Amino acid sequence: MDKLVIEPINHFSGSVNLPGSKSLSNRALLLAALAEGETHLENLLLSEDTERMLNALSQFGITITFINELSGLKSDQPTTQCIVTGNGRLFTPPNEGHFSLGNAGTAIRPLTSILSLCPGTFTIDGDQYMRERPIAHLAEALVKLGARISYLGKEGCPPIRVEGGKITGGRVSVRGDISSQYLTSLLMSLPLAPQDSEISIIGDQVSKPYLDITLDIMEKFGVHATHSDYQQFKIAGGQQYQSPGKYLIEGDASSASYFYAAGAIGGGPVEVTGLGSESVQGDIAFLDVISAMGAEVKKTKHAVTVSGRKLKGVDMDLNHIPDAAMTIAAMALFAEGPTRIRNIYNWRVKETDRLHAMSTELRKLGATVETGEDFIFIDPPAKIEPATIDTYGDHRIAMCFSLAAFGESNITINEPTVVAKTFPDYFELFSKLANP
Amino acid sequence: MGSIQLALSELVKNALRLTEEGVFYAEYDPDWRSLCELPALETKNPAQAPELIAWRPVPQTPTVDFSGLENALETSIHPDIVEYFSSFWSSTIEGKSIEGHASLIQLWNQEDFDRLIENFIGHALAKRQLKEPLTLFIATTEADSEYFLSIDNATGAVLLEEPGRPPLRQVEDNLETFLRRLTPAASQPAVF
Repeated sequence: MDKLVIEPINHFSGSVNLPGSKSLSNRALLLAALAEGETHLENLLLSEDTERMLNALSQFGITITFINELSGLKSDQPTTQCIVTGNGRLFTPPNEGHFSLGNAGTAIRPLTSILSLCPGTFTIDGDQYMRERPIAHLAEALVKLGARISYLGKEGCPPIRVEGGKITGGRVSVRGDISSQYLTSLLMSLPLAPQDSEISIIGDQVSKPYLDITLDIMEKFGVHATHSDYQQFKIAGGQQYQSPGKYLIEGDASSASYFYAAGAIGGGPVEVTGLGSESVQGDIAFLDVISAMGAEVKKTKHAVTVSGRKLKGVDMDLNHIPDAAMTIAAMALFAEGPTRIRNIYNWRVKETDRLHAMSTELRKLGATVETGEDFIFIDPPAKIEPATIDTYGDHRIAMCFSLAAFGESNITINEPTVVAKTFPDYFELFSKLANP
Repeated sequence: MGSIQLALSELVKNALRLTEEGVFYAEYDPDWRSLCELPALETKNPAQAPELIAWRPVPQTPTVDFSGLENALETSIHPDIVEYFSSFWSSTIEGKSIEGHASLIQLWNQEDFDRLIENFIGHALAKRQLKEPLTLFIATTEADSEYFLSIDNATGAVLLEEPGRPPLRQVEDNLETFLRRLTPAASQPAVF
């Protein structure tokens, strides 16, 4: 089994840049490709999802020029910086075009909506996993708006055949717990329909933070959609995306939380670039929580600097930041007095039973932990015990327990490679800023 | 009836209780017919025809045959997987557990089975390339997620996986226990 031993850290300071988030990277590529003018995208994440989106965009005839980050010259290989020459209107993909989007969910969903608007007939397919994953709710909404979509394999799943160009706008009602990616793809494409559209939400809208991110990036690309308390979205038709010139793709705010936390525990200052005061990600609220714990937080437009040392325990409802709440639980080890995190039932529905996993691992370090259906109470130990942390295949558990090394003991992380999913060089960056 | 089929059957019964008419509805497609479709007369709301078709899972007789897949992969398929996919002709069955949503993949017709086998072979080859033990998927999870549930072909354990990576964790020791702890999820439409 893979193991990583982290030796005790006394001080933590320096600067770190966060790679762009996956969902924002693909949203930015798509809108830049649709926009009028050239867009310089910075901090693009290079992943399978973005690769699939790039391939599809080149099939639509979009030119994307990559730039070497160091030399500033044109690069033959994909890099984190590129110039997208926008189409200035809807794409004109080849009729009978076939688009294979592998397992890239953040490409297949928005492109299905966009292709429904483009004149012509297209086939959209995925790999063996995507072919088992229903896309029916999105397709039904598009059909309601006038698209013609048929399933070529299993009913409700890719491959699908889209007869595009028939959507003129209109009204559709969707349940509030429909996938936020479906809703995002409707919001991003309907401004390009000739007439106005309206999406009504039945029941509570469950993914408001993700929709805020979508609406924000649309706004930055010059397109407006309004909503009344996330219950009714009004999208004027006949709009056109405009290049904002430069667009910085924000880093993932929950990934940033480990560095903010390390700055707060290990003294800092720690500067994290890639997201700042203008961030629209919900997890940026993590900074308010660590301020309440005693950390010093300074924000500029594109960076946040955190310093601190003496932290105190807090009692807070962290339902709005379930991922970053795990980082608070690890920080509680170094606070004076106990910490109670409430209303975190949604921890349980993530990939791991995180409530159980966090309490088990925090106890190994000597903490007194109590958990209930939707809370965790952590009373820090006088001294952190040396421990071997199990990561349960969960990248966030691996990252947040790296913070335990601020005690005086060695911390061993089992299977540290789980971080590959969202942050492959996390431990490398973490150790660069750590001083014994 | 085997234990897996019984557990599935219980889940279906509970799910049907949540519906007004004791039937599920699916989009009618003249090219995608199933033995589980009900004659239009049985539905109380004929106005919904012909766009929608009422259906209810029916036992497969004869059942689908996994020997082709076994020959192709040169291995025997875990009996729980065989029983799971040989139980009913049915569309996806929606369930939920404390961990979240599970859309149970089921077979609508023989063509659906042939299609599933192609996807199984794609998955099995990906596993071989990664030098990982064979698993076969049985369910997808939340719509935004790429995670799926699979069965470890050697042990029968239920695993949580994502494409192209080693399994994330074991969800349950065996499929029957997993199915027994699922409750039906609402099958009302999401788009109006």
